[in-house]
Amino acid sequence: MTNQKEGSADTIQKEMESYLGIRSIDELFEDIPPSVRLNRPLKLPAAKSERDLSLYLDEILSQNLPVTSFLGGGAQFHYIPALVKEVITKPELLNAYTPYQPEVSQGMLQGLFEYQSLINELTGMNVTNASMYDWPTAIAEALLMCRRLFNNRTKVLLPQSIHPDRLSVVENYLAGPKISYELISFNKETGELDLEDLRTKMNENVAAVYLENPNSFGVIESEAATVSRIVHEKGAKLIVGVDPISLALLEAPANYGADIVVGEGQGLGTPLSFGGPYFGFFSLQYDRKIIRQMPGRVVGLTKTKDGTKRAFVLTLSTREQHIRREKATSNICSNESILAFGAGVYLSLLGANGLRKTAEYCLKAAHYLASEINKLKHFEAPIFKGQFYNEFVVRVTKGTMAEVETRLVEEGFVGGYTLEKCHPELGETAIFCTTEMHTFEDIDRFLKVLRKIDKDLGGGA
Amino acid sequence: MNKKEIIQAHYQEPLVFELEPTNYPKYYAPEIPPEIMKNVPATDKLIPKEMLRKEPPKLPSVAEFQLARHYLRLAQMNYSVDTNFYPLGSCTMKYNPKINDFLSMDRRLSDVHPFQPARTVQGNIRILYETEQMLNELAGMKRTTLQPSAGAHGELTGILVIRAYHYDHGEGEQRTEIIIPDSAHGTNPATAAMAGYRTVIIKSRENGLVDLEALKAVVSEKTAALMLTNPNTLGLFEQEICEIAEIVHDAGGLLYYDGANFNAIMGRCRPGDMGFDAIHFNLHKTFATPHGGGGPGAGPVGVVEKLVPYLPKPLPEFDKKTGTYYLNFDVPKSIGKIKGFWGNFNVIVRAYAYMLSQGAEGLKRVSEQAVLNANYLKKKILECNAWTLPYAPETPRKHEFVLEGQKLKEETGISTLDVAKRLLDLGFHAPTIYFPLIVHEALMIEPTETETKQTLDKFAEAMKQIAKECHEQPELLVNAPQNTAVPRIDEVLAAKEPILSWQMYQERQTEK
Repeated sequence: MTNQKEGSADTIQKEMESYLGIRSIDELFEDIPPSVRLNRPLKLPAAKSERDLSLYLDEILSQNLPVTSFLGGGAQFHYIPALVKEVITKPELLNAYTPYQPEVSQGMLQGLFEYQSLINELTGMNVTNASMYDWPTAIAEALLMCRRLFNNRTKVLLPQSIHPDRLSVVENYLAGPKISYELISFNKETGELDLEDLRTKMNENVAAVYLENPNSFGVIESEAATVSRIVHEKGAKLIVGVDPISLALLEAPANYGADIVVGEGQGLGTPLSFGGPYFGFFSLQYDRKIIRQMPGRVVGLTKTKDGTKRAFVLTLSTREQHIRREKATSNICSNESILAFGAGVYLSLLGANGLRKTAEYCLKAAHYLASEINKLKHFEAPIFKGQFYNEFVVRVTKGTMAEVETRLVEEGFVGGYTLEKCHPELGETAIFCTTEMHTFEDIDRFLKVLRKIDKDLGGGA
Repeated sequence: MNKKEIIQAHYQEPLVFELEPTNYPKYYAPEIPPEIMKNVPATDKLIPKEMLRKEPPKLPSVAEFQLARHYLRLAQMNYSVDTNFYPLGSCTMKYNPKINDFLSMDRRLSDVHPFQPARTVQGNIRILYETEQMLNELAGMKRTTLQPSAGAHGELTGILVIRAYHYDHGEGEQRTEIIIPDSAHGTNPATAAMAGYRTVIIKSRENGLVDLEALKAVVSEKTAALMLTNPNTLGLFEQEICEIAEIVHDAGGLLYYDGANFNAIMGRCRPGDMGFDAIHFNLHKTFATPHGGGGPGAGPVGVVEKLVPYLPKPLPEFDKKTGTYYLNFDVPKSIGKIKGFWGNFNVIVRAYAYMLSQGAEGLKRVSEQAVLNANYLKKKILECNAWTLPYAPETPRKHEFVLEGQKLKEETGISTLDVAKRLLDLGFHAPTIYFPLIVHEALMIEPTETETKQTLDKFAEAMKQIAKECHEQPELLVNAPQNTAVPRIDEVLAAKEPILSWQMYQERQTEK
């Protein structure tokens, strides 16, 4: 049965068809060769009403178990103020395309310009692009960029402590341009970068060295300035990967010699969402020549043509794929703009004090948890002597970390990310993380469960 | 006609750094629990001396109420598809249903860590699994990785998978070239170069399609792949796709499908049936996920059976015996990872919800209406007699069409850029301009399926008005836009004397 309205919609459709001189829409698809036409319905579920879709998703999500987790490793659970969520879901911002027409896109452009500037305050640089896909791809793009800055340096160095997933992404990006890499080992005692190994591997063929601070073991690289000296003595570039919230407490990488700073922006107002979307930030110091090699979009401040108003626009686009095609600095087009915009809201809202308070919470909660775990008979935490921020490596000296994890899940907890596959030499280890989302009660209940597990492991080592 | 019709708010909105500093109390960061404060040393004892920050970052000190106004005003100076028509060619700016956003904000999705054990995230892995199944069916592919972050990232993934395939078959060093038509999206050659390939560009024929002879002349034992979008960027379906596939396959190369134009063909034909070996989807285009002013997107990559072993890992699987979902990391020939974690999950969920609400029939209808709208609007605008339709004017377009503004420019001196800016004045977003490169003064228009005939008519009316103005009041175009948040922007100045941040702005001020 068709009602009046649907009837008239059909009429409009017919009007359009007859305007085109066709009897049915099929005629518009007649240039598709018969041999490749799909002559059957798609094997997909039938359409669901909004109610049914909501019920269906609700049922699926009820299969997720609610847990309290102490996972980090490149994604951390942080509080997202309501204003951040509200701003980044405003339809005028959320449902816009890339601001190719700046005169009608000043809101997005100004917000991204502010984002770029706010990140600069953290990193100590004066240029940040409008976002990369995430931290791992930002590292990869930084390495590619450094390679382009030299004629014949074809090698890069990365820390052996780097998370294996980040390394895997980097490997994929290095494959095409045939850039080789070597890993710099870490000091087995401190967990920091092994400076001797770095010195040995540095030479005139190295385009860039990537350092993480805090590194993937959570350890703060106390000798970052020395690393910088060693790298620069050989004329190479230093890329530093950071946790942006930690920069409320830790030195700005520009101040110890970083040439490019990258990192995971997720903590700045983006939900965990099972791994994405996140965004990578990419910062450097302005230099007329070097900037030409930067990947990604960047917003600049300019004037209107009549000279009357300040205005914002995507600029330096002659680096990009839509202009330069195969000579572009990167193929990146869509990035993570709205999340970067949200990070701007987050940083403006928290301010320096709020960010510092958040960072201190992360830092102190981690130290509390580590020291309590270390009191257990069969656990060591942290296993490295180097000072750490909010992630640290825990070792179980009896049984396996996998068994510990299983027990924890039964009690509604998830512990750390196990390192057995990437660092078997460290024994049965996992990396734990705390943030301001962990209340004292969370930590206390977690410790109670760990104590029980420890006890069940029994006496002896 | 000259009257000023304000279509956007005009604020002289200060930068967030220029807002008045206030000391309004804030409650965003929680207090550190006293039990922890008591037992843990002071902050400066926990951080190596050399690494302690000497100066706090100079972030704004402003209250939420100031920021709420600031961002509301910024939003009011931003055009979106919720504002009006957004005919940006190749970008598929369709309406994004609100239910998808709402569902994606469920805390059971948003507060889940990617490294949680599979048994705690059965629902999430199931969503990945079912999304993949639906995409496989839509494209006629065997498996699809959901990992890539965007279309271009999908391209890179697909080409790296193809590269791995050639290496695994002992032809990696030999196959050094990727063939790309001159009408291709800029990301195609940029991707090929990034993956280490030499790009071989082939010219389009006078009918806008791939020139088989030109293709035959360049394929060789060096060919790794041909990258193609079908329908192509002119909105024309590559009718000789089977012959194209044969030529490339006979030379040992593979076919890559750029899925930017997938909105044209859902339920009508499938890249897998056309002979393509790999395809990326743009979930933020075809599957109605918000583009966020530049991202996030998601660019899943589907492949035929022989490429499955090389896909990024992990892949979502369902174990029938135990009735559980899991992420399979045991993919020995996999290229590994192309980004952190498993994909832009929050985007994937929205696309999943979109596919479920449309269903098989609905998705087919989507493409039909998109193609009907494009052809309707094309004919309407051609009636202005101002723009021409280069390449096979009699052949129906698919989801988009490209107009040439050369004649208008020669007659009136008005460029496509001016036309685009004037459209903004009349309350419309401009089409994609100066692309594809094989059309002079190009206007690339993609109306999508979520527009009414009335909107299309109004847009055609606006184009008609502009065509008239070109002759009678060219100053209206040259000085456009006037009704927007700001008048035309000096982009040359922006690139010549770059001010890329508040910091550089301040440096510039002190220099002066």
